[in-house]
Amino acid sequence: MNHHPRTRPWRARLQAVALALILGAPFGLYAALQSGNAPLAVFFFALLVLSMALTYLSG
Amino acid sequence: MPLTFFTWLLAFLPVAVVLALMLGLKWGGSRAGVAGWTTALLTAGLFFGAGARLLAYTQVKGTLLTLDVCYVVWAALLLYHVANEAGAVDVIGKALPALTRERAFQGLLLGWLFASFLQGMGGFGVPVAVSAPLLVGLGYTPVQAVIMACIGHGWAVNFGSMATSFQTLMAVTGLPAEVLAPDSAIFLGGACLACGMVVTLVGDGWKKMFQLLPGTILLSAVMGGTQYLLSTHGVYTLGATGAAMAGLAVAILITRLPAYRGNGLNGARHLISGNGRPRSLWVALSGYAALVILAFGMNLIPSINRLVDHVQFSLPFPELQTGLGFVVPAEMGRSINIFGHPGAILTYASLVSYLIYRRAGYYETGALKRILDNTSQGAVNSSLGVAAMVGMAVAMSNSGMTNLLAAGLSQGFGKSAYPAVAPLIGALGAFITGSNNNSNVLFGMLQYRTAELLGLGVPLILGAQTAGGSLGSIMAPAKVIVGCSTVGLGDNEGVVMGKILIYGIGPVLLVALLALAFSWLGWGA
Repeated sequence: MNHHPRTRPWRARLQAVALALILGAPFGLYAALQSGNAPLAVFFFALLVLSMALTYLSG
Repeated sequence: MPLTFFTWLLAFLPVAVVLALMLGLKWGGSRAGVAGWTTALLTAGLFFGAGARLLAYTQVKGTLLTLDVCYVVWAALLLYHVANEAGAVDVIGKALPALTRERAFQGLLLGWLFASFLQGMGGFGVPVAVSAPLLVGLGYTPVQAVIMACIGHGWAVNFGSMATSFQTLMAVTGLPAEVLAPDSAIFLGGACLACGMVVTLVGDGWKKMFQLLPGTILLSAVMGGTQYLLSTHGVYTLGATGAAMAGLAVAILITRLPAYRGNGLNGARHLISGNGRPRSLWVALSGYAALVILAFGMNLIPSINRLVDHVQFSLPFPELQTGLGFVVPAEMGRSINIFGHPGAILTYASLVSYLIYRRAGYYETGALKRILDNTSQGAVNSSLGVAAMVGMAVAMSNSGMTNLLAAGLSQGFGKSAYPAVAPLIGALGAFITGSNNNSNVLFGMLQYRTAELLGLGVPLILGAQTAGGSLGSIMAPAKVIVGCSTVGLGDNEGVVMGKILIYGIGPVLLVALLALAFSWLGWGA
């Protein structure tokens, strides 16, 4: 069964990027928090926000 | 933060946003999840004193939970597409009705037992998509077929799909299967009977429902009992699968009775699958048999269990505190057992099944690419929705919002009435978010805290939550739309929805009554 027969290629690519960021960015965020590197933590949190924005746009 | 009507509404705001967008504006789970996630983080930061560090850590915790859930989702979809591409699902569905000439019993076999079996193996809308067209083939109207397939597998959602929803409940509450499984299995065992009766009622009317009642009671006792035994003895991942298989085995014995006996397969060793190619029923079943053998072996043989349990992934988290004084103690995040996880077992089973079907020559050119494409298409979108919803739920829980919601509910309903409300909350969450899983993410901690505040049995309330979620998910618009699309009812989804709500509420009310009765009897209090 194809769950998303009308998923357009750009949308599928956007979703794949969003998923990679949504699952990857928090681990960078964790490393930055543990090492006390605030600018890096802000960067990874921004990536997480970006992944949510991409999820919204491709949803 | 003190509990007032305004602060309670603030704490409820993220959930309200998700509900309004999904129910009112018909948004999908991933978009609504992002809106809920944004609302939760803003509300936690602006009103509940959650600082940037706390919110950042909640998102890492949420990612561990998301990976834990998605591991199963991805692998379950993979197994389904491995079998479906080989024509195995189609062949099993065609073999069952040939066992009996009694049409109402054929309806039960496909709409209740086979749909539940599919929920155990795959889930995610598959039971309705596969069973509904087969029921139409038996002569049921498309509307009847979709309702029967939807309601028939409602009891199997919680422990189906390798118990994804149940695992989520364990993950968000931090409680083990030994605590949560007994009550959940008892409620769903009761609901199993109700689901079977509704399937016959919808398909063949009251008279047939009462005629088949002894058989329905026997089958639901077998399935409910098997699910209880499996889920309370460490094999909860196969709770619904094992139960449905036991039910199918007993149903086949029933079809040997003179009143039910059919033409069988007329000695045929092969059936024609949807793509016109002959397929052996036994080879078709071998893929699923591989899963059962692997899951039982890995769970029940201690040496194998120890071997695969070696590699676990988790992260330690420090104590966190909001500006308003709400403290989350230091803890280990969700631990993911890389090689012994239910998702890993499903992946091994997918590989074994793929090799079996390939050796039997059941795949055509390009099958592997189609399997992987279809799996990733289904997995990515649902994973995004899960990630956003889980991120929202953990932010709410760690900033004290869930606690405040629970305090409000416990004061609003009181100890005596709350057990009846718990399954309705679970069902509402699943109806709106489209999944038992998301309902447990949204309301698992809320129900846990409310039960603690009211002095009610936590397993009782959480069992009612997830049983309600299981039964509520079958009425979700997303599932109904999938079912309608497979039987050419694309323009009549509203009609089907209305009828499913009428018939589907019965099993939920039964769980509410059971929860109330158990609470009054002092069960787990």
